[in-house]
Order: sequence, then C-alpha cells, then structure tokens
Amino acid sequence: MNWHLLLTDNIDQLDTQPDALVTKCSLHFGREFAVYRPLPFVDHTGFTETVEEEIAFVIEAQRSTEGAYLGAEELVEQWNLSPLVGRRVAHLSGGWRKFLGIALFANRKAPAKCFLDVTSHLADERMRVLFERLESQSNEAVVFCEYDSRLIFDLAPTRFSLLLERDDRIEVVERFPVRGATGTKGTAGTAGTTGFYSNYEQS
Amino acid sequence: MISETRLRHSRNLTILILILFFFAACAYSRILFKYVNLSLNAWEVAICYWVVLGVALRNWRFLFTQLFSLFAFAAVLTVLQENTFALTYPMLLETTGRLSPPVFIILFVVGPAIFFSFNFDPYGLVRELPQIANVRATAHLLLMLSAGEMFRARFAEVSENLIVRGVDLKKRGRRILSAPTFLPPLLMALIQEAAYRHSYALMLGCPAGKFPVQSSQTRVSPGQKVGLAAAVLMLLGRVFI
Repeated sequence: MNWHLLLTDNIDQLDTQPDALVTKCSLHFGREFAVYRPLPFVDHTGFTETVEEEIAFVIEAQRSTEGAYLGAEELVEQWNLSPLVGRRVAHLSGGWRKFLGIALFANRKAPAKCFLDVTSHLADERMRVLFERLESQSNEAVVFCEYDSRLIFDLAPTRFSLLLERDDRIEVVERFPVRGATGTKGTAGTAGTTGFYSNYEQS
Repeated sequence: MISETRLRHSRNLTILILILFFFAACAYSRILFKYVNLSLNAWEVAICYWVVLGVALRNWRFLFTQLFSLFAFAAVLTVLQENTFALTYPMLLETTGRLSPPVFIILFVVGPAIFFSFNFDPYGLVRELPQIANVRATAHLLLMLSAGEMFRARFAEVSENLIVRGVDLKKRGRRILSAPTFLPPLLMALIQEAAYRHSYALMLGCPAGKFPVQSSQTRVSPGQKVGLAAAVLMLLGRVFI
C-alpha cells in the first residue's frame, strides 16, 4: 500500500507552512516529493486558452523533464475531461479548474507525490476518478493531507495507511486517534483547528 | 481530436489591416476631399473612421474610450494653445488641424494603439509571434497581454463574493461607490495570481525555459491577403502621389 493519509495536530499548516509538512514527509520516506496544493487565485498556467491547449502544453513540458504518464488524448478520456474540451480554462468553474490542475499534476512522473487539500471544492465522483488514476501509478508513494481527513479516508478506507504528524516527526498509526487523546491542543473542535480534531474518533 | 493542429483565422492580422486602412484613409483624405469639395481634417477623419469601426464591431467600450481620448486631447490642446476655457468646435478644428507632433502622436500612435488593445486576441498573438520572434519571450508576453482578462476574471470572483455578502455591485454606479470595498481584495487577488502563476506551472512540471512551442497555426484567409496587399499598396502609392 503506497497511499498515506497524514493527520496533524495543526491543520493550519496546510495554509501557513505547507513546506514544513512536505519536508517532514520527505524525511520520513527518504525521498523528494512533488507537491500539489491549491494556490490562491491560480488554476491555469496562463500560457494557453482552451482546456485541450492547456493539457497539450503541460504534457509537452512534462515530457521535456521527468515525463508524463498519459498523452493528451488519453488523459482527456481517462480523467473524464471530454465535456471540457473546447472550453476556455478561464471560463471553467473553480472546481473543474482545480480538477484539471490535479489531473495534470497526477499525470507527471515523480517518485513520490504529496496532495495537500485536494478534497475541498471537489465532488466525491472526482475524487474517485483521482483514486482510479493513482491506482494505475502504483509505484509512487502518495501522501494526502486534508482539512477533512475522514472524508477522503471514507472514500477509500482500505487504501490508506495513517500517518500522524506530531511535533517534529511523523509516526505510523493504526487508526484515527481518539479526539483529544494527544493532549497537544486545547479542547476538541476549537475554531481554527477543526480540521484536525473533527477527524478524530469520538472518545 | 485534441492533438490535431487547430487552424483559425488571425484576428490580429485583421486588426493590423484595419489600422493600415486607417493610415491610408488619413493619407488620401486631403486628395479625395478636394474632389468632393468637403472639408475634414485628419482629426475628424479619425473620429469618423473609429466610429464606423466601433459600431461595426459593436465594441462600445472601445468606441467610448477612443472618442473620449480624441475629444479630450483636442480640448486640452485648444485650452493650452488658445488660453481659454470657452471652447468651440471651430477652435478644436483649428488646433487639431495644425499637424504638430502632439497631433500626430494622438492620431497615428495613441488612436491605433487604443484600437489594438481593445480588440486584439492575446492568445492568437502568442501563437503567431513565435514564427517571427523568440518563443520564450512570447510565452511570458502573454501573461502581460492577458492582464485584462485576468482583471475581469478576478473582478468577477471578488464581486461575486461581495454580492453574496450583500454588497450590490451589479449596477455600474454602485460599483464606483463601492470601490473602497472591492479594490483592496481585488488588488490582493491580482497580486497573488501574478505571484503564484510561476509556482503553479512549476508544480505541474513545467519549469521555466522549457515551455513547448505551441503547435497551433494560424490561417490567413484570402480576404485578409487581399486586404493586407491593398492597404500596403495604398500606403506605398500615397508616397508617389
């Protein structure tokens, strides 16, 4: 099993210190991670106009470096993007733009990938497509870190191994920790850290 | 089929041809008006030409900007030259009829530049420029050229956010009054987008300097060929007349 779900005491890191999370992952796994995270107001390289141009542009660039798993036509077909072909990227809804970015990121070849905050704005159906595609790239280590970890875990409960980020290290855990059991944060459900504590099992 | 090379007519070439025809119209107007006994100076010819194009293209924002620029320029020039705020149309004609460098600049540089900036296709331009210029330069040029689209997209997002929070931005007048509310988030959004675009391309595995050449090509229609040839010949012909 190569998919990991990273739980953390301080979910605000996803916004404030994503690099620190990735560094800990790199140290834990001993390899460099390619990182996906939603960047504010950017879901488009800006160098292309339509969806198919964006896909062709990115794949061609990927092939000039580490490589890409799928060609442009295969990617459109396997990621169910055909309804978007012919449309301008700037005119897509935020969710579809994000999904397009995730599809293009997942298509690049890398020894390990880290997905930060992919579930927000995406329907469960899109997440299932992402999982299907990742299954075909089984040699890669994949780490997810989400505001709502329980949501992504329930979509593919048998696929994930759980990791807990605590202080400066990452440890493997068997199940979702019991809420408040770590004692590192205040009361359960504290505003600003709801992502973490809401993902814990009820005690 | 997405790998198929897409062909489309060059909108930018059409714009270039229309600008060349504007120069030709200005160049031939004096000769033509002698025969038809009509008195129009280059400034009036420019107004007529851009009004016709603005209406034909139904680009009202361009039309308003162009007319505002021409009239504002004429008004300021007249005030400076005549030292009076009592402006009349004959006075505007008199000052714009003297073909001084400022008049040349507004008529033959600023006017066509406004037309170009309001009508050009930035994506098309970036597809066409690699044939004559450096590919990497044009890829980055697009980010600058598509700034208008970026602004509209971010404004749409920011105004949508404000509308759901009860700030009415649908009416133009309201927008002006609400500028202090929407300008800070809009500026923040634009700065963030500009700052993160490079990171986004890098994240997808497109390192700078390895941008691929666009495979799309542009088709030049027979009408465009004829138009371009006619405009160039007219301008060359004016030199000898």
